[in-house]
Amino acid sequence: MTSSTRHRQMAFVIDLNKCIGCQGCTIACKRLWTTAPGLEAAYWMNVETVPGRGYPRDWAGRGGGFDKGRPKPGREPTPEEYGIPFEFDYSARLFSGKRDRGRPRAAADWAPNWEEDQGAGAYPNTYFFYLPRMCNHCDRPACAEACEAGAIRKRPEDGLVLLDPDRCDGSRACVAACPYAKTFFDAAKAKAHKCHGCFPRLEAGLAPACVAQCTGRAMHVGFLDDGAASVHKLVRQWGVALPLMDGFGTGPNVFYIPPFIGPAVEGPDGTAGAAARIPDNYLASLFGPDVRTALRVLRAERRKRGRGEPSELMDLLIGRDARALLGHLQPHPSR
Amino acid sequence: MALAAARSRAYTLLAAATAYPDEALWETLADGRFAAALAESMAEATGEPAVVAAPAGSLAELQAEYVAAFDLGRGGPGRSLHEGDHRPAETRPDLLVELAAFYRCFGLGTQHCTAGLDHLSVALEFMHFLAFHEAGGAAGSAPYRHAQRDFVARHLADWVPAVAAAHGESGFHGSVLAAAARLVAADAGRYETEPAAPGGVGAAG
Repeated sequence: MTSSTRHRQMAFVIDLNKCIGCQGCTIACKRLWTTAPGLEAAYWMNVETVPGRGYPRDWAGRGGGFDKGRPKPGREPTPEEYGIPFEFDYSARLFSGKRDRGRPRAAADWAPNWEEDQGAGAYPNTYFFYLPRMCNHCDRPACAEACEAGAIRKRPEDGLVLLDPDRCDGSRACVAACPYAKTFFDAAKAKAHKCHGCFPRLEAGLAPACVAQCTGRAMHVGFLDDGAASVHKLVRQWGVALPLMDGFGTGPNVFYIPPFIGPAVEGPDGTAGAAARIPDNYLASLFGPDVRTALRVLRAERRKRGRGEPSELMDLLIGRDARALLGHLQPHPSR
Repeated sequence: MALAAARSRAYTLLAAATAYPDEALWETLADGRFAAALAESMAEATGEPAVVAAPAGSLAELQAEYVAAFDLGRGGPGRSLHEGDHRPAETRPDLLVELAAFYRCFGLGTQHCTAGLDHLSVALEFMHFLAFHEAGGAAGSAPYRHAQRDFVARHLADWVPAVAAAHGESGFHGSVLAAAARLVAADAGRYETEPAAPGGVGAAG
């Protein structure tokens, strides 16, 4: 069997301790793939502040995915939930003498990243972190199962879930079926579209744009069965990278290192206690009960490193060599 | 809650009086409403009314006095109304970040803050906001009380009394600064003996 016919899975690991919410991945993806008219509100990759309602608004409560193995009905997000793009009337103010501040339309009350840095908790114990979200290239993609036109397939050589626009009949069933709201509909072309894992880049030996662009070196990519890849080590060996809301039943292949570094709860006298400010229960609601074990492992390894002892896990996460995060891929085309 | 409400009123009046004078302030100064309201709220908040010297002349003269006292060369040694001028210059960026985080934590944007994030009027307005919310909600007031304690201890108590002392109590602005220093000192003393309740985790942000 050649490598091109083996069933392999390309996976992503995102270290939430290193994501600084710069939106570099968002823009790298947006500029590369979704600049056409009609795609203004579509973000294959987005970074949202959690706790929060996310993008599209309240995406996690729309249904979709599977319930006890059976497809669960979902609802397509409305344009308002994505956020209707708005423009500021600069030209009238710059050239036509219009007074007052330039403002978006009066009804602008939602957009991607609308809740940036908002979070939850009460002073002084407020907390938030950034959650980059993209297509999970699931083991059992609900979008593909919902598509009666057979336009979505999971290709065997890298497990990417790809949508063929020529076969798409515009039924939007995939949009409603994806529990992560990462399948979109292009009203201008009456076709669905979604993240394709930057497969043209992958096929040229390059990392996906979001990964290559990540200034914080927070993203890892590689084959899950590649023992040398950091994604394999973090997901399979160390078990510290966990899928988001695995209860949807789709088997996501984007994994997250939960936030384990951060301020502690502050007591009434202003001193820091032992408990982390981000409640473990909240993390468990995102990453499942295994997050408690992952947090224990991560904290123990960090303490080890702090004592000057070696820690493969911390070295992997620190990622001093950016290329170590990319498996067999290169960040940029060689010149 | 009555104390918080009085402090809230006092802080907003002092915030208006330490900002660049405008028509609205001038109207309330001219008809005596400002002095009466500040005296009453300061009496409730500190146990002693504030006596504000009535400005002489016109609004333009008061504005000129303000500029001369605080803006031209920042008013002389120790008189600037910007907190950053009372700290080592190299720490000013950190100070601004800290202040912006304080304001943002309570949902307050800073994009319209033309006076500067570290201006006394902005800090006093923030204290008004916190005290107002403390006065309004019995169950949810702990974070607001806690924030006031921290904001006074980390910021206002450090520099407002010194500015007031440097400026002296003469004139309208001098008497306003003296009142502000007295309110801040009263708050600082009260928070020393009455720690704020801990802020809870898990409330909606």
